[in-house]
Amino acid sequence: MKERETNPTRKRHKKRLESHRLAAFLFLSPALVFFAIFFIFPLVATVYLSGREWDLLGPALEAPGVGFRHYVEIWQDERFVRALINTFLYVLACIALMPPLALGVAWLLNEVKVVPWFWRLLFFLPVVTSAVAMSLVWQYIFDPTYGPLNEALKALGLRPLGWIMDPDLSLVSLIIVSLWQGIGYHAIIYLAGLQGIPDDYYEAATIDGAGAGRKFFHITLPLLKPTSLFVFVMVAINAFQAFTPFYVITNGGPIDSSNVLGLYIYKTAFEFLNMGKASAMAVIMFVLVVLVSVFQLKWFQRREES
Amino acid sequence: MKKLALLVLAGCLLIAGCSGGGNSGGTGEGGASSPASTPTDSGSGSGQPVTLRILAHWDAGNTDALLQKVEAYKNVNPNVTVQVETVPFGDLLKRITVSNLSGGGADIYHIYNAWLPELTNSKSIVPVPDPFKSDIVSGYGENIVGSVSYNGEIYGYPTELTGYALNYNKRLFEEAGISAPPGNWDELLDYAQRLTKKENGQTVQQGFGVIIGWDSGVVHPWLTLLQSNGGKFLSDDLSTTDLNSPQALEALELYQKLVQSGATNPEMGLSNASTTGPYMNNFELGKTAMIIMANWWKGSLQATMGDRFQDVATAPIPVGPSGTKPVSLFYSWLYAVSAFSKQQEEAWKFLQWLNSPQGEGQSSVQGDWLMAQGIIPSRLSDQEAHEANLGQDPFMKTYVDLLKDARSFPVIPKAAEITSTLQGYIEQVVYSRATPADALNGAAADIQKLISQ
Repeated sequence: MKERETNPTRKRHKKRLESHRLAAFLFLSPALVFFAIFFIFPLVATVYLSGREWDLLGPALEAPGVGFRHYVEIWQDERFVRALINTFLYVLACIALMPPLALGVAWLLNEVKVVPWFWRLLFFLPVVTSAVAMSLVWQYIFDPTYGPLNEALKALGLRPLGWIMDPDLSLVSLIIVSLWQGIGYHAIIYLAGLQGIPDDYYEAATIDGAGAGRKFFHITLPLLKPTSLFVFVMVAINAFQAFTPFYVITNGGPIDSSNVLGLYIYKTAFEFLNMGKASAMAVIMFVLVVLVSVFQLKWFQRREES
Repeated sequence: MKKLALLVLAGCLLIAGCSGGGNSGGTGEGGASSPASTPTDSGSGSGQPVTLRILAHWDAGNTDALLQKVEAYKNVNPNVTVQVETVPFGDLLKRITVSNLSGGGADIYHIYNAWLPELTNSKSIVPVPDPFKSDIVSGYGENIVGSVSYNGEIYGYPTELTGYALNYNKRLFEEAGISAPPGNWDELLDYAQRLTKKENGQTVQQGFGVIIGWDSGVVHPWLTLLQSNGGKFLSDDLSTTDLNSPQALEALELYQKLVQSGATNPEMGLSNASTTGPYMNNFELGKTAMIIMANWWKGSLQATMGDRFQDVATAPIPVGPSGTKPVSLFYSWLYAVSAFSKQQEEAWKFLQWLNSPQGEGQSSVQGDWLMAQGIIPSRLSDQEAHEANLGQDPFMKTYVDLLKDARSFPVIPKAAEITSTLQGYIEQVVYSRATPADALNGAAADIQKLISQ
């Protein structure tokens, strides 16, 4: 008797579940289609093209196949190796500097009580400024001959520097530009994280006699871990894909000292018309981004567990 | 999940690996978007309306000026309408690419001659057919015809010419007590040092400027010095580099001497993404006394310098110790006909009309249009028709005089990558990161590899 009762029930339950799954799939499908068109298809196409010799001018499907030749060639290309090293240096610098600076700015924005909206706007403005316009202005700021930065150094009695025209300083100059533009965005994210920490923890710490430093390291930082994970991963991913300031300000020079992967991939594809080699470099970059992101996730996880 | 991800990654790599040997054909053969291989009569004889579309990178003002001039073509062919579509220079090649992929696009492309190898190998443009070939051969200088040819075929009507000459500031020369521009490299080095001024260890005026960061801007001026020293960039058959010659070594050592003497400050040579920038500003502001540059920058100089433009003069490239005469460099543009055009014959007929003298001793429509922009026309009859104007413009006269001995930048596959490679090595010497000998050895090896691919 019970079995006869449960069977129809089970069937009805199964039907409801299937209709829920169908509804979920239908709601997700626009996003899935978008994902397939703008991520899956380009990814598969890039991998396919990395095994072809294609100059963009004829049908890609008829381009001759070259197997893994491009993957071997790029490691013999000094410019690619240089761009890879520059990219890693740039990524490391951004990871090391952007989150702490953004957190510092967020903490200040959280503390300031006088026209707080103005300070938040000020720091966020670079984020919404056109990257090209911003890069052109920075190019003049950094100009060694008559840029205002060197004029300021001279006024202070200091020696002017070569900045973007000095192979030893061009990458540093672009790191400064990226920090200037990116701090505001990550500061807003940290600000949201800071404002999500309940005051009770700080009150309890104050009662226990903790100073500002201990509160920061034992309450603020640990509770900001999820926010920090997001910031670190986003900083790394964006740094790997850096392009506009490098293209506009230095075009990778002088002597490839500021040539990064994104820029070299662009030049190889659209200036040298070597889409196959550029695609191979893009696949390598994709793998690196995934590896670095996975490493960061694992590192944060381990710290969480410990 | 991890296993699935690994499987997907392995599958992707397989796709790349297994595409080896899967297709022995070249690009563009037998595909759905194969171009028409023979010119088709579009029916001008039958009076059918024909619209010819030109794809170019001109600005709006110059485009309108050309369209006004070509209205006269309707008197000869009332059924033909000419339209022009313009894109920025940086997008021009990409637009041609997209047109090929869709099998459509403009009938006539106004292209940079350095793109000829790629556009011909992909069968994007067609060679000039016989009736029009003789017009081009007889109407243009041999070096100009060579610059629009590839693998023995001529691919279009030459249009704009860009050459290089020494530009200098007469006022700075007077202040330094120098009465004439340098004619040889000893004078160039000497004058450059006398024209250099420093304050508190900083260069406030450099004697000779170089460009940094823009591949053609670095390479082309240096090649004019190499050629004026009796040297060559590539062999005549374009199969090997000639960069390991004593003449090339002398040319790069000249740069080294200019930098080491302080007469050239590479930090003043920055070029931005639109090929202008501080290197140009420094000349306009009188902070650079001499620089080798192309004729197209005349308009920018006039616009920025105003009255001070009268301080600017041009002179032939100084001759090196191993050279006998100034040998400049030029590159050209041409009108080519798309292989996908269904109106190829009509397109060639229009181009012939556009580039032919309008009457005995007169300029062509194209020649008039180029002269109005301050650009040297490439057709010999146009240069003769405008001899008075070209002769009276002292800035342009130098460039025109240099053209007859000038060599075209080689029309060779991978020209952009070759130029970029040579740029890197020249900059290494300018920044004292390599000796001229090491730089030339490196450049020769890398460029030879690219040529051989």
